[in-house]
Amino acid sequence: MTLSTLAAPTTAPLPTHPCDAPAPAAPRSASFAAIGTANRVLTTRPETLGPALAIAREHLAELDAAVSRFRPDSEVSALARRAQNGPAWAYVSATFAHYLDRGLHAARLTGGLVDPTIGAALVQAGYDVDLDVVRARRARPTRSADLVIHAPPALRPDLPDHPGSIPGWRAIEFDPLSRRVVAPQGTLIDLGASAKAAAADRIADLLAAALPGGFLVNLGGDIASSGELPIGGWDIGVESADGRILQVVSGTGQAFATSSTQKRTWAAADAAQPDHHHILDPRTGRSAQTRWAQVTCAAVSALEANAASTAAIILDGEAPAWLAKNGIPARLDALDGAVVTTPGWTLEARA
Amino acid sequence: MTRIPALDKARRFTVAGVVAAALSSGAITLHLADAGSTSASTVAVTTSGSNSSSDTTSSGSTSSSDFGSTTSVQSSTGNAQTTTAGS
Repeated sequence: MTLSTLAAPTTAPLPTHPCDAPAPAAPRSASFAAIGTANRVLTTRPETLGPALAIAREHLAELDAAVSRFRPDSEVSALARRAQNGPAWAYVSATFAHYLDRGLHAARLTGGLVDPTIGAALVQAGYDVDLDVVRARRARPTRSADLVIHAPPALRPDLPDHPGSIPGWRAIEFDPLSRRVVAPQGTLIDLGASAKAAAADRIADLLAAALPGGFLVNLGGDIASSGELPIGGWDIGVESADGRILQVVSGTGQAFATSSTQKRTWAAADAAQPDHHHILDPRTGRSAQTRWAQVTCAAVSALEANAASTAAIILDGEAPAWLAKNGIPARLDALDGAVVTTPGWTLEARA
Repeated sequence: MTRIPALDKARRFTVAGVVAAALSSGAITLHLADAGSTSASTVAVTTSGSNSSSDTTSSGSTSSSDFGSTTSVQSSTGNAQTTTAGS
């Protein structure tokens, strides 16, 4: 893709360019582990990579301390403990408030398909600690957690509606001015679906404000960029669960996210039941029954891309039409290998 | 038929509404107080507790309810600099 494409008429805000000329050097990158996933920061100017990494690490440490449901000392865990015996409230930190706001925004965008109150349901499903620990204690020697192909929807057992363990995002009361949060009894807020993506957006903004050049922030596959573009844009691979690059797309300011039913999986307590995956359908409290192995979306922010890709997994057959209606360019990879795209997502590379 | 997300007008409110709700609940006083706190944990520990129905304040946020529009996505002939691995 050439930079001339950026001059094409569009309704979307174009990437910010602190300088007119693209960066001449190839982007530099570095990886690090945090918040339970692999992360990568890329910069167009080599001298900014170190400071950019430091900013990213610092922000993710703040995020983890505020909203990790796996840390007993986090604000999320503290609020959940208070809510065990009745409704509870707290004045929360600015970090918690920001990410709760983003989580509720994702819920609004998706009509509640991405719901920050599914924490207790995830715990009931066995996802109550870091995923590596969950997998270790329920390991089945005959299957690989990363390569499980889930049974198609027709083979799944019927599921109950409206599980009691999910209060629903509308039950959370949040005043962004005072940063006061009220949670119903039994609520465990889980921002895993949105906070990682929102953090990519936040860090990209922080980097652009603090440093010269261009930046791409990849937090476990949730990707946001800011500042100047490298020549030709950011080349971003759409990766399958087994590590194959299915397609490389050129990012020119869009954010990207992939939601997968094949990667964050763990064995059910009942060996006769299909494995769990981490995308819960709030309507059932169970792992979403879906035909999609993964869905990749582009949007104006990683938060929106993540919300769209997560909702698409849950929407199953209705996903392509819903994505198109919301103007989300997307690539949907089905369990049977079929690939579906929505308007705005091109499979063929330009000559 | 799955419900298509729509603008949630019932939960939207104006900034004036937020201020009014905060003033009526006394939350604005506490907000100003915790502005001087030095850590998040201090705020959470000293100003939280059990809730009663009269404690509730306004909820929601001022964010838009619609996805923003973005430019189209083109395939690249280059090698991937990073990947959007599924999560």
